[in-house]
Amino acid sequence: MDVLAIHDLHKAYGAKQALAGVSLRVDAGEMVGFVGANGAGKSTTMRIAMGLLAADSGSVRWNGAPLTFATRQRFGYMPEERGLYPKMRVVEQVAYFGKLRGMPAAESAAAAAKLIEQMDVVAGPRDHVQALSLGNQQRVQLAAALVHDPQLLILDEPFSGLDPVGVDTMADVLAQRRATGTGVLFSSHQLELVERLCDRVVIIRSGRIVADGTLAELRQAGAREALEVTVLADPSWTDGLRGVRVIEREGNSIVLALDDPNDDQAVLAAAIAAGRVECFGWRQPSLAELYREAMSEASEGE
Amino acid sequence: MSSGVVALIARREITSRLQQRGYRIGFGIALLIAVVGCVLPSFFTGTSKAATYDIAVAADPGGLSGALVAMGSAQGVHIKIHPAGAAEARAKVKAGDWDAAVLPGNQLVAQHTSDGVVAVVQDAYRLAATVKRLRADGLNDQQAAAALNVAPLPVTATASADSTQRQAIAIIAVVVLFSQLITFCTWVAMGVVEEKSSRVVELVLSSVRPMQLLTGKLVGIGALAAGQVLTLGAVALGAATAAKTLTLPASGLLTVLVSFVGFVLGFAFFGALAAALGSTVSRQEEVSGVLAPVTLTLTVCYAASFAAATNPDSSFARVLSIVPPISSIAMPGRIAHGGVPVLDVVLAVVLLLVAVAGIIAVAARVYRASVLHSGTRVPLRRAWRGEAVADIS
Repeated sequence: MDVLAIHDLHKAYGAKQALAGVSLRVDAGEMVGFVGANGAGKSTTMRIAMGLLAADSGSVRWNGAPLTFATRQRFGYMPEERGLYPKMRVVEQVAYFGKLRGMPAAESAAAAAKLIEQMDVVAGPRDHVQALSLGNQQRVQLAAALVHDPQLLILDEPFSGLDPVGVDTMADVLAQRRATGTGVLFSSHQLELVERLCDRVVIIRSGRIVADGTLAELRQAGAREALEVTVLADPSWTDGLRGVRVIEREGNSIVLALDDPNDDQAVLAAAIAAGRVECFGWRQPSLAELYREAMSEASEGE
Repeated sequence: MSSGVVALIARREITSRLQQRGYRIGFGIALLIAVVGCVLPSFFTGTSKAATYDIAVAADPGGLSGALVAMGSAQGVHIKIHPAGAAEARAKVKAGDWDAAVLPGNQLVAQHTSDGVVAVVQDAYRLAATVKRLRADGLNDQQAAAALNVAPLPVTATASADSTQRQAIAIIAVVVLFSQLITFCTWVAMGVVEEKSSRVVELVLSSVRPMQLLTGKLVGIGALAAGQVLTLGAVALGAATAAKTLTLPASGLLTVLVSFVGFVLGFAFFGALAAALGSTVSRQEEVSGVLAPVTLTLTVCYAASFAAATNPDSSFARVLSIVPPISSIAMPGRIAHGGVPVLDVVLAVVLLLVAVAGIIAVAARVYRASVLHSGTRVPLRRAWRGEAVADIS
């Protein structure tokens, strides 16, 4: 199993503490979303994971061994600062990055041509990268990260600046790679995308990890806050319930907050007694809600 | 450090430039200037063809025609004698058809009294008269010929054409080295900044070490530059030899070779410096400003080398041709004059190598600390002490 394990990273830029104990892991074939505000430490963490920056303390391990130059060659990287050689031809450029990571010339040229075709890059064979549209440049950028068939992908904001079709192409390509066992760590501000694509979500705030788990786990941990009930009955059926507040009401549908979430069975019994229950269940918070919650909890803890 | 990666990076530097039309045009123009510059002087010093003199002899005072032919073959000029009447001869000389005419009454007519043909005719006349007198004194033809056969004095010139040529070669070497170093150091800095401004550098550095990228860039641009300098030198040498403006091909060849070594070492020195300074800025517009220390140092080296080339035997010329980095330009200029002790050359090369090693170490440190920093210019003090690209093992 190919595993990236980041443990207890600390990093300061002068007086500013950028990372204060960041730990996370990415398993083989797992897609991990890395979420946090600007300046929270996502890019710093990724740069350290790619061996571009040295951490003040902490470790980056690949399959249990410290990161080396040779193991890093098996990673694919898309930096936050996008960039390619503007005056190099598209396929030539992608193949160049394959060769830099140790691929034989013929093999990397073939892989580059195949990727460019697979990703629907609109470009003539002699076109320079600077002649392409931004969306196409972004695809070439991803191709440069994928050309050597990496075992781990570290992608900083891979979806930013893409149109919806571009997002789908990128998501498809990543899903294919995940299916073949490649681990993917990517950061994004587009939470609904992360929710759709990721196996696991890591939320970072001010250099600290404030949440880490699958969506189901995150929901379980902080989610029994709003009980959605739809009963065909007089709205007054909730009046006698203790420790229960009505947060929202719309026709027969109400949202309740319980002082003790374990009282939900008592609420259900009351609802059945009142009338026909059409809907009963804890609200599944979106990632955006979980994120906001994690942010506010963390700030309360400070 | 894997040399394969450095070679890859170097090759990209070369091919990406060869693919640019601007580069090819620029190099073509440089070649043209070199050829024209080397061939042009031959048009102004055109004594290369043997001269032919048309001389009319209207009245031979005795043996003059024979003496003219003998004098012509002795002096390496072709003499054509036209028997003609006095009036016709004078008219043709006046019209410029013939060069000179000997008229009755021992008159010599030429367009100008200072023409070369006048001296030839005067010599021939003196020869003919001398032979006539020797005969009159009773010598037979053989004795007369023996009396006239005097071996010429061997000549040694103090200001020979050779030293003028050496001087010219020395100055050309200095000028070419300076201009090429300035050009290619700017290329290095532009190349570094191009990678920063296009942001590709972070992707590259996620695959290769900073030192590999820096080395590959210097080797690539350096190889291209060295090839260009060698080609220019060879073409100039060939053109000048073919046009006979250069009659010292051995001295010229040695100077081209030493200039090549000077260029390679000078480029390593100034190129590394240019790369380090270039890495502290992020926009092409800032390159010329940040390169000021390099251009200034090179200009000082150039001025010093020029002074040394025009006065190669002075002791300051000797010192300048040994002190790095001036030696990279000054030594080839001094070599062109010849007579440089081997010790001086060895000392210059060793000192320059030490300086190159030192500057590369400094440059690598600055480069590593600055190359991933985008935005405002990185102060050198911070580049020296600051956060660098990690160097994983």
